[in-house]
Amino acid sequence: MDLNESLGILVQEARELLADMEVALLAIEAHGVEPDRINALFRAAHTIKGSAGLFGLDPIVSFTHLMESLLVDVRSGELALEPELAGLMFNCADHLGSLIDCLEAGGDLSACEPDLRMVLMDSLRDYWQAECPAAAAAPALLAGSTDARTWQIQLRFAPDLLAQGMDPQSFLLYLTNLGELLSINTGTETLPALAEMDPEICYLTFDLELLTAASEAEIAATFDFARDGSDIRIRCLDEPAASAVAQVPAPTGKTVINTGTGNTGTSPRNGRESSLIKVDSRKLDELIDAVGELVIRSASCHAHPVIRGNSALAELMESVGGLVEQIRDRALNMRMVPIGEVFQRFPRVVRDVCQELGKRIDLQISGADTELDKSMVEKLTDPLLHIVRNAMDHGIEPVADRVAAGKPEQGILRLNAYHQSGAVVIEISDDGRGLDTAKILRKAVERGLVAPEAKLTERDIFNLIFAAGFSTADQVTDLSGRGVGMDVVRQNIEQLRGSIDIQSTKGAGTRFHIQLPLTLAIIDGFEVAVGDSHFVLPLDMVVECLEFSASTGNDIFNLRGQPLPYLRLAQQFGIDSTPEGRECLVVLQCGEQRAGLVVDRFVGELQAVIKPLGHLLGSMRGFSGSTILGDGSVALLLDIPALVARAARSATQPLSLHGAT
Amino acid sequence: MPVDIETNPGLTQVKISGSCTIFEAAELRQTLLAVAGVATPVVVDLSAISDIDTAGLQVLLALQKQCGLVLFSKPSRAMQTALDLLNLNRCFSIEA
Repeated sequence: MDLNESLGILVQEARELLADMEVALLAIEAHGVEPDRINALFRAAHTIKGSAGLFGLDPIVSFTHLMESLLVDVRSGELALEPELAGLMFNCADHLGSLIDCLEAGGDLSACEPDLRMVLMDSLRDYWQAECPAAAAAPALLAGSTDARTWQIQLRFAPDLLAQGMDPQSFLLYLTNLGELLSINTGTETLPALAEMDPEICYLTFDLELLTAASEAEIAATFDFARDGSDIRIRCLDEPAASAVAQVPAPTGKTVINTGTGNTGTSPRNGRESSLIKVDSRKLDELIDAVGELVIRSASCHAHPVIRGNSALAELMESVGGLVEQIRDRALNMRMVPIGEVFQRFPRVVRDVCQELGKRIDLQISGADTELDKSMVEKLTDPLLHIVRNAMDHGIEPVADRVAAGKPEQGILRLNAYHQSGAVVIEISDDGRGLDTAKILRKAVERGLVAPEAKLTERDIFNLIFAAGFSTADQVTDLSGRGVGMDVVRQNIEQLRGSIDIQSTKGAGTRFHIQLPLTLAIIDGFEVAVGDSHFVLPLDMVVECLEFSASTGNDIFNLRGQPLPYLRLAQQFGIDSTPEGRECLVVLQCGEQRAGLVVDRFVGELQAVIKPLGHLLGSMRGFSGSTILGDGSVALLLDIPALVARAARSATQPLSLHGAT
Repeated sequence: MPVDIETNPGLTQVKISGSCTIFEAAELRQTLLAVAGVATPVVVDLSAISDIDTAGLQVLLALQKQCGLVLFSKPSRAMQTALDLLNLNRCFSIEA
């Protein structure tokens, strides 16, 4: 555990606490003040202050100290948490978020929004002093209250504590926040003479007595960052009367924190957390990469003639294969996180927008525990945010318009997520004015996106809003017009190998339907060959496979009476191919669109571990990744949404040449 | 972290100035090793220490273990705060 790692934990912890804080503030605004909510606010400010203090992050410490002081008074009832103060707390939480971002980026904290910090701190001080001049001293927390107990704390820090950038002094200072340090005994017995000492090793030992009402877990949490390799014992000297009876063998009242090394960063702070292990996501990626290779090798073992010819061996391999698949599924499962991580940001966004635009919007979230790949969650935030903002900005009408249209004053914005046949579906719907097809079409014609006489279906018109540089807003508000259009949203979704679709009824609302694969790492693939080249398609997009026998020049195939646009893969990628016998057609489905792909032959199903394309190939259109086949050769993964769109486009423009598409 | 060492017959005077933290600890130790072998009593002037952490305190304590007679004098405010916090006053022989 080096300093960066400790800071990483701090950053992550602070983000979680800030999220808690936001939830609590939103709950206070919506449903009023409750002790639990105040406590959540206090706990967040207090813990962030403590952790920051251990690292000497003064701007954060002084800022959170003020927040904490104010919240102490709120908690004791001396100060009422009025909407105005809640608003200030929101702003403070935002600023703390910026500080944490700055910390993560390795920036200079004191240079992070210094003016804003001054303003916020002044406001905090004004509140504090105006409301309770008596409490102008530092928050004398907890100590002195009736249930204060004396704790004995023995600290034998890890030798490399100092080298990690931590100082026992900070821990002691922090403890003085929790209560009163009755005695401090600094032991120098193990300290060698100057000639023999290593100046960066921590030799000193500390034995403390602390009088505090804080719980054992709270005291132990002080040492979270110093736990690795340290021997920290916390013992209660005067058990409260009730538990004193069964005191002798009772394991309670004594904590030994992780005397081992190599232990991961779990903390015994509370029950839920103690069953979780925080792992660097990079390690998980490495594991999944290795498991991916294992899947490939195991598949090629299956295909080996020696194994095929020996039924006992084949049976053995079968069970190994089963286990490998289990490992794969479990490894992938470890990457899964609930989509609630993204959704939880939206209540705040909706609140802010409502205030800004004077609209009334009820946000309804369901399916927040639907799980999907962690890396996708991160990449989903921006596109979802954009859609949500659009829905609030353009979709849901101002209160007056809603009343005039006979709708309830309060608009509804619904976020929903669920699993559907191996995919994750996210829906964002509103009960606003819906998309205005006439207006979209007029705009599109103005921008030269479609020909004036073009006959478009309603769906095609809706999809026009995903075209680059398209905006129907009559006036650009602060929310829209940020330079990010819906085209970027679609790109983002497609980069995740997902698709996005719109349904809308004029006057009744709009629904965005986003479909995403469960994971990005491994897919069930379908391998096809053109000439000597092998390609892999995601199996779940393959509808059927046919023998292909069209010879005419147009690129529409008659599939049981339905027209199916198709592409010849050989032509698309300029591959010389002389198919032996008949060509083959794969029918693909992407969203609502279908298209065919003509290849030389089918190879079969496989599990493909997707690796990204290198920098050189990254900008190539039509490929979304690469994979290694069982025989060690490389196959490219086809970007089906792009190819299907291309086939559909060339079919609607029959005059265009294949090469020009 | 400048260290002035003045060797007089019968007394070695050391004055440490500036910051004595983990960043300076190695250098401080190296410098102080020069007085480790002297036969005379050593007086360390702490009045100009601007900042000291546990690593710095350890070096001073180790010097005390190394030499026969070390007296510390005139602790600065930063030094005194650190001594008070860690309750080390009795470990340091502070000359009034």
